[in-house]
Amino acid sequence: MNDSKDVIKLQTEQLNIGGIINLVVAANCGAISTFIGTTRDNFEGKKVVKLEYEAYQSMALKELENVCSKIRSQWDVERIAIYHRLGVVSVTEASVVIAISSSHRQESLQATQFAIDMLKSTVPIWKKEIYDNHKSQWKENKECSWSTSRDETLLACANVVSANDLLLQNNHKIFPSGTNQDENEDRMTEKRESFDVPVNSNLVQIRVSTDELNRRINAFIARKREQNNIVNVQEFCSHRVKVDEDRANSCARVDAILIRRKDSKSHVKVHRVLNPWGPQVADLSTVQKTTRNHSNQSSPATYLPALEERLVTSENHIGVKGPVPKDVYQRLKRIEDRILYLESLSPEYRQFWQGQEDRSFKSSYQPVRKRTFSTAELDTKLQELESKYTKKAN
Amino acid sequence: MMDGESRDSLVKILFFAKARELSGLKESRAKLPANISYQSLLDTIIEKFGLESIRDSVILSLNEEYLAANGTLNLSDQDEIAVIPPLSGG
Repeated sequence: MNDSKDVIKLQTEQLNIGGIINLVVAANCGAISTFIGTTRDNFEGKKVVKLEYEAYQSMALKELENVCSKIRSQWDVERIAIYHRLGVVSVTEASVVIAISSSHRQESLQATQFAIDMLKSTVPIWKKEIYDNHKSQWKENKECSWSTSRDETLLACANVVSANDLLLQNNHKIFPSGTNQDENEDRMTEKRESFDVPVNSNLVQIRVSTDELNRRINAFIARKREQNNIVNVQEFCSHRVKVDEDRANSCARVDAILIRRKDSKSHVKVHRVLNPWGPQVADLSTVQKTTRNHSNQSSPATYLPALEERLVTSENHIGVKGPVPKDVYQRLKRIEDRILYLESLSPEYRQFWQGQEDRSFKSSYQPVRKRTFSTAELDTKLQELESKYTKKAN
Repeated sequence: MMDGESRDSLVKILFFAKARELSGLKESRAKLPANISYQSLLDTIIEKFGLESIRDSVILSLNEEYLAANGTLNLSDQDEIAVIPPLSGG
């Protein structure tokens, strides 16, 4: 699945930067970070005319895949595109383009820097600079662990790199500054830790032992979990203080009520006061229990048949069930309670129920389609009106 | 080329960048002992293809995997060894 999200390519054609960036566009991403490596026109005072890239293609592709999987093991990124140019490249053209998308910028920024660093140190691609005096030289990346002329290359790169390299700061790991000469030799090893180098002590905020660090991390996780639990309990159970025993431990959101959140995009615009306990959230079962006690000796109603009919219709409509209490006021109370209960379940749709019952309400909402008139029609209408008014005036 | 006891493997050797220019070859074939240490493999290749000037700045890969400098290898026919000068991609 991840493979389809990684695009890696070595090509002799010019790199289409916009097209490569488009490859990593994703709807769920808020960030795309890119690195574009371009070719310089000078090296140690010599004028570079062009560059030639060559690669151990099959292995380079493998190593690039490896870069992608390393990135995915460390950062939550969405799509990765790495394109590298081969063959003759004129100066100022792009030789490498890396584009990575992620939901937030931090991941993609860090992953992009990691990608170019790892590409330079592990992917078998070589470049030769060809100078205007017809001499040429194979370059060596300072990141490459078996490079011999690292010092020499370093001097050339230091000015450019030093400003950028401190950007990446992943937890307690900081990437080497370009001016750092004593990089360790085991950069090819598996772990990212191998990129560890002496770090400017001013940049370290937390100085504790590994055990203490782990303890703090675990404590942090535990605290966050507890916070989540509290929020869940409040959200799912807080207003049901008198829960039925069988539902006490249920996590099902059977009685969730709407609490509008900040920046909510719900289409229903409702602002509700959250009453933790009251008639509007009272469980129907408790209401029924009390009415049942009174209605054991239910007998035929004694009021007018018309009134009885209206009460029965209302009760049926809103689903009040069970034995009918003798007292008409108790029946009305039951209907009221039921309506409150239903509203508490879903108050935002109250207007729609009203609309169903109330014909006039419904008719006022009938869609009116505006007629469109042709020019000829408009002309005749105008003529009619004119003749009408001239007649009136006469 | 070797004594009768040890088996030989016919392997492919690829050259890149400066190694390609020095040897004048993009690829070649060589009969090498199947059981060979990294160092003696490197020595053999350096000597056979005239790569002495870059001896200290190349590493070898076997079937597209970088090799560790202290290992011992078990070569088979059709294996692909590459001479890899310092990388300069990017």
